[in-house]
Amino acid sequence: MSGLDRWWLWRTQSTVVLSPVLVVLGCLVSLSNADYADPYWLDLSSKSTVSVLFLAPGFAALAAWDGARWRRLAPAAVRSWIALLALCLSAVALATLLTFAITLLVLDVQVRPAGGAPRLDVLALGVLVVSAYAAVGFVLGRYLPRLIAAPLAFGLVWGWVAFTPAVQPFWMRNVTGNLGTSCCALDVELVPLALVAPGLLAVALLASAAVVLAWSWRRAAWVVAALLVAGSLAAAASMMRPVGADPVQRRTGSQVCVTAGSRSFCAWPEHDGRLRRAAPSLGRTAQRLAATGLDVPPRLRESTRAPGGWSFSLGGGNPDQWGKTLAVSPLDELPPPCTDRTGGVWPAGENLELAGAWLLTAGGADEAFAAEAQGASLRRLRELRALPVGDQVHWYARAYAAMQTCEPVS
Amino acid sequence: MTGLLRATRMPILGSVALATGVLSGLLRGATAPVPSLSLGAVSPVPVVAVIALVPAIAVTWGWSGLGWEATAAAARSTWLLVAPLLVTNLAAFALGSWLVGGSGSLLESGRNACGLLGLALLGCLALGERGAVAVPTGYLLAAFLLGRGSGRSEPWWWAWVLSDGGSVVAGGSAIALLLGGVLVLPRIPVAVLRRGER
Repeated sequence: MSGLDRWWLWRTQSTVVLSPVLVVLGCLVSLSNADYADPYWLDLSSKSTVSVLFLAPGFAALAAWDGARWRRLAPAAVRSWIALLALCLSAVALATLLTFAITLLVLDVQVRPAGGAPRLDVLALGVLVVSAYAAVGFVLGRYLPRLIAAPLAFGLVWGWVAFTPAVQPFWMRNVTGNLGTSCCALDVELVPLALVAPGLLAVALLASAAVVLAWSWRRAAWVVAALLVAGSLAAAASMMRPVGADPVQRRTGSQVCVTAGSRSFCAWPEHDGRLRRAAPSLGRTAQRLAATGLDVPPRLRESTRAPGGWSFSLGGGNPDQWGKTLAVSPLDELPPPCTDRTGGVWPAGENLELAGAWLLTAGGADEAFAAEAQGASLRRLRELRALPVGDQVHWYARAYAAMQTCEPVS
Repeated sequence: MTGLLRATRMPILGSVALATGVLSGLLRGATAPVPSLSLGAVSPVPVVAVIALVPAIAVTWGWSGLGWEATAAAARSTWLLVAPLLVTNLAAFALGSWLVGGSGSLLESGRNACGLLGLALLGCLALGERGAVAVPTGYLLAAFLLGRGSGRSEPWWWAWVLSDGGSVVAGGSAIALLLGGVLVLPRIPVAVLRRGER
């Protein structure tokens, strides 16, 4: 057998021949959408799988084309359908893994996480779901004309993976395996079943494809396949129903703390270096805010609300901004949830910009800068700052309390 | 005539086109977040763009049922042979979307169906049968990935599938593609046979 013949099987598969194109595009898609990644392995690993949105429908369509092609050759084939599916899926899994690995490598070089290791479970889920959707495409190709099967596989998988994040209920988006766009900032982690639910559905799809291909002449095979998919979908839905829009929860674990002035500032270990650089600026800002008369607690945590809404963020690369995030942190969670009920009507919100600018100046920022940064009127800010300090704090306390509700301003 | 209807699966394909037209009307305005290479962010793309693949593929598949050899050797004009299939599918799709979504939906869905059908026919000429799938699907992916530029509210002119139904440039582009596809119709059967199947 010549070298050319040995590779004939691979060279004639669309999933193999076109996989370099999908790998390159997949890497470009993931990298172009990872403009900011935390030095946090879970974030990097999930961002490496953003291309699932693109790889899953692409490979499903190619697998459908290959499946349809094998159907035409079936009378002369010596391989079983399961062997052909395995051949197709091995190419898909390899190409997907390569895409994720290249993306992760580039992100690793860009971001340089401090410690830990890549989340292989997140990457494995991505490979599993892309393979499962490709298996669905292959089955469609096995039974439908290829002119129908390939676009149908593309459309169905694209709709399932890309359209579900735009619709309710939330559990639908959390069982598709598309984690890249919903996970994970530094202060959150995946809920325990976030990988199990889509993984279960993907395994069921793979098993159903295998059952249908192996015993296609038996009606029971189709019933078993349908039950497998329906059962796993129901189980995955019940796992994800209590979860919100994203399958994440507040991160637990110990933070590193640094003392500056009379206060301690704590952050996640990945931001240890930034915390040490930011501590003097954070300490100064906290001291100025407290000197104004604001009740700044003695211990502040990154992205975790202390009483009064105080917190700080070390995201982004500009150390000058880190102290300012502490000053305006009480306003971060506004507008309040009641605006969902009032259709966005939030009368006290008229003071949001001015309150933000006032907090910045109380933290030591220049008035003109503060007004511009918060989009507030410089004239109104100067009028407010001209009042006695006690009156300023009183105004802020009243405005802040009013901004927590959707009631008309009294 | 009955034989032509049966061979090109016109009744079933017309029904499918009508049903997907209705779906297109129902989903008018619905968007799906898709990563964009040119924006470097996830950007919303209209779901109806993908649904419009159905009439495009239906026409090519229906035609393949007639047989590429038979069409190539037929005494009757290729335009006359394919016209009923083409018009039925486009009309059924447009009718379905108009019934549910009104004239706005008709403009958008009809434009998408015309443009993608034109691409499918031109793809068939260039790449054989696989081009009927690869070219319109590849175009959709390219439009999703590169169709929007940063700082631009409207997509690039070539990404007409992302434009509103009222865009004249987008409508003109789609009609031009359909006309191009219709013009090359007689050459498609021979091109498909020459390309062979893989």
